[in-house]
Amino acid sequence: MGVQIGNLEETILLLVLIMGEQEVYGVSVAEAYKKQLNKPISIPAVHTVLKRLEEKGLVKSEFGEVSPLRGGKRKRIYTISKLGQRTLTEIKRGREELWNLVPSINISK
Amino acid sequence: MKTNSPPKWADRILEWYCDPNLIDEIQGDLHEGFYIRQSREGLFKARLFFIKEVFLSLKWRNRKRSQPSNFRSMLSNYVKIAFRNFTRQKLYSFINVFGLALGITCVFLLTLYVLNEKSYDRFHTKSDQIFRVVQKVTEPNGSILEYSASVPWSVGPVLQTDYPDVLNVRMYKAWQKSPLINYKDQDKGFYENEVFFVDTTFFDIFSFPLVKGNPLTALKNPQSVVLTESMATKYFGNEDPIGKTLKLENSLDLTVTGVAKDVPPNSHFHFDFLIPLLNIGDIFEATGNQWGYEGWYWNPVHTYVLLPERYAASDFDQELKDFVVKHFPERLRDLNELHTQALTDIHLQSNLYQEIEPGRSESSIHIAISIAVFILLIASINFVNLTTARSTQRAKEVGMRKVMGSTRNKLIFQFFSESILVCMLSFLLSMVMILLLLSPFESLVETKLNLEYLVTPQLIGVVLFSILMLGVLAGLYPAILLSSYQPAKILKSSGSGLGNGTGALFRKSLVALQFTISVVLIIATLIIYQQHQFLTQKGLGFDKDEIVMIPIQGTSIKQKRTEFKNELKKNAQVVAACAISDILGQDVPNRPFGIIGYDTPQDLPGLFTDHDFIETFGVKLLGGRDFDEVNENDQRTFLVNENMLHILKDSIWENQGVRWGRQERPIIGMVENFHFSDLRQPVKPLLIGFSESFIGYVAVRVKPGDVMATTKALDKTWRLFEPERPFVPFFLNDELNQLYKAEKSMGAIVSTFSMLAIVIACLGLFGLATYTVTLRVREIGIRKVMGAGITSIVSLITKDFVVLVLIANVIAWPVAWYVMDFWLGTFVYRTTIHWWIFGVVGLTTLLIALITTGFQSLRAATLNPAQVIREE
Repeated sequence: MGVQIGNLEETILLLVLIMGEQEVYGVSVAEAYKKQLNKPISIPAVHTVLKRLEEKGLVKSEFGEVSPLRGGKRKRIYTISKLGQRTLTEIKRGREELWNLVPSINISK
Repeated sequence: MKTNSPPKWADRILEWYCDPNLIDEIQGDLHEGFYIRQSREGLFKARLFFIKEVFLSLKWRNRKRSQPSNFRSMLSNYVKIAFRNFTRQKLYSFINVFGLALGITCVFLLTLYVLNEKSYDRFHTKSDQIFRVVQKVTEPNGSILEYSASVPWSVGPVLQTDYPDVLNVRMYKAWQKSPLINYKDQDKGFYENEVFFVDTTFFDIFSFPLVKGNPLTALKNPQSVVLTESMATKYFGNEDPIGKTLKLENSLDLTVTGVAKDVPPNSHFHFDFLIPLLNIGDIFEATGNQWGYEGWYWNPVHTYVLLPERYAASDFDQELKDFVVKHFPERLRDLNELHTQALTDIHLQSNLYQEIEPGRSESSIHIAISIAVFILLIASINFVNLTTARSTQRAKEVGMRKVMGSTRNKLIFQFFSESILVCMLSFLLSMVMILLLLSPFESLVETKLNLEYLVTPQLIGVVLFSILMLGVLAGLYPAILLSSYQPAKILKSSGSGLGNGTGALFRKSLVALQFTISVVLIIATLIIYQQHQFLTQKGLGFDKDEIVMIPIQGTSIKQKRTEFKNELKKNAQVVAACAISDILGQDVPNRPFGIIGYDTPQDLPGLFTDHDFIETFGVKLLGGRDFDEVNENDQRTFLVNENMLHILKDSIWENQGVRWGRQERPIIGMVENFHFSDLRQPVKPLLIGFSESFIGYVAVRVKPGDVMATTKALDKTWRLFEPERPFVPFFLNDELNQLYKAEKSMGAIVSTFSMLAIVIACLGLFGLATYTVTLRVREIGIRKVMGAGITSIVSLITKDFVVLVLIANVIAWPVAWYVMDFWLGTFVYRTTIHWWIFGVVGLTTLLIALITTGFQSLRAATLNPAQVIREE
């Protein structure tokens, strides 16, 4: 098995994957979360999850640029790692395997 | 200033809390989020959100970290340096560790002692509900006549009828006598001191576990006896004692029904035998007691009550007031008062008449605690002084560390860890010392410490914590001082300039303090010793030396007194002999006498004796005459002492009479005052009567010389009359010296610990002197080259210390005088404080200081200057 991750971690990791084209950092992830899942999340909560994902080796990070809105502070830009991608795929496959075992009658109900 | 910016204070909190490595990301993101939210939802909401998110960011994982990677290696470096210093400076380390260990040992032992004193009687499961009923008898004029730990016979049983919920037990310990107990099967017999006659409720109230037998039934049978384990071994060896028969006073059979564990040391009474009070009538018959075991007058029984839970002793005191009015005879009602005393207070707070065993005064606890504090103080001062004095040698290290980026906090931490290390080493050493010194200490304080009970995990925890605190406190000053050095200054200078100035003054005052304490302790020792000498050697007004006391209660000698005396006098060693009721010089009990001019009988000390009393004890007859052997009428007369004149009508004794029993008896003479009670009491009026029934001893004056031979001769005479009974005489002098055991033991304790105090103080002084010499060794060398002699160099070094000791003496003298004058004030008869004591102590301490420092300075003075100056 790959790395054990929680529900919120999985969601955020998925967002990081989806947002691969844009700059992924605390604010943008919080915004994306709100847009995709229709519920707000605080920036510190996002930070915590991102840090945890980084500790588990699922994302990588580096400093980005400075912007005046940020009071002269740099962004920390996250990108998904190979391990992160593999973990997401594994989770997906595991779920699908499980879904396949559900008898069709039950779904219609 | 932008008005639409996030709140500054929240920003500052964030910066203060968060790790600088994370602050960019967190703060930047929060600010960006703030502006996004502001454009959507307005400034107010955005600010609120910002504050919320700041607080959400104050997570443990975001905290500012001090370089964690360094910490472990720093710690191991501290330990390494500490050990290097420790081994390099063997002498100082030894003085530090040994001095502290001595201090800790003293404190630990004294703590055990104090805890032991405080633990008395707390082992009873219901100890907080048990109270002793005590009796206060006042005279009509309001002064206290007797404050007695024991109460009349009838109090217990009548209390039981009046207050069925309040269980009580009476204990009667045969007063002033040791009954004879025999085991006939093995022909073993001993006089036993700890025989208690008790009510059957004894085990319901007190928790003394039985090894054999059932506590519920052991005392139910009148003819039974419970004895302790050690008594069981003494009489029966390895045999099973249960069911065996012991004989009391050769007349009463008692069956052993139980064996109790030996009474723990921390109990206020120690029984060896418990015999049910049910057969007290038979016992009185057997022991020749004729005063009866009922009534409200004679009060020899210690009575304890077990109050029901949540029943306050003060409420019961109120009940006792009514009880006295209801039951005491009319004559006694107004003069008597009964009240309760908590069981756990008896040992330290009660010092009444007729205590079962002498308790200890609370002041002994205070003395022990203050000595402990003083010694610890002296030992810690050594530590502080030596550490700060050596700081010059550490100064370079401190400077180097500071240059290399160490902070002041880290340096303080380093010195703390060093001092705690020293404390821990001292603690280990002191554990060894305690093990070695425990039994000498026990004999010093004349107490068996109940270690099982005292050494608890809590105590060990407290001790370890205190050692830690001691390390922190002792290390506090050196740590703060050393860490405050400016690196540039230390590294530039040669280093030896530091450690003088204020630091030296501080050290000097600490040394003065050490010696002040030592001097006070030594003076106290001498004065306590003097007072003890005074009490034991003060002329009592009668000869107490060479007097052999032979107890004769319960023997046939009581009836054949004259024959026995005559037989004794045949012995060449015997000078004189008389029969006597009490141990002279210890106590003479009050007895009711009718005196002219008083309506009611007066309770006055009444001694009973026979012919030859004056000759035997060497009491001086001031007027009148002694009991005449030929004149039969003299057997119904009295002698009085001088103080009796205050009581007698017209203050004369001639032609007066005293009513004793139903008879008016004439006074035939007056003797000089003598101390018939111990020296804690003033000489009271005394009546000396002639009686055959009240006598308890035969006092024999013998010639000084071979004690063994004399005793053998007396034993021979004894056998003629009482072949069945062991002969147990004692010397009056020895017995009287026992009275001042408390002063003696206090003197021993204070002297031992003041010795230790001065030893520890001298250790410190020695260390300081050594240090001073090393600092000034080059100076001394140059002085020698310039022509200074050995004496001038020795005086150069010792002068400082001598001045300190002188100052200490000057401070200590008035303190010691004040404290000891107060202590002596508690005695009726006291020695005077002589000025030469202060002089002697001053000279002695000066001499000790001179020797301690002189040794080092002499060594320095005799060094070859060429060698010392060449160094560098």
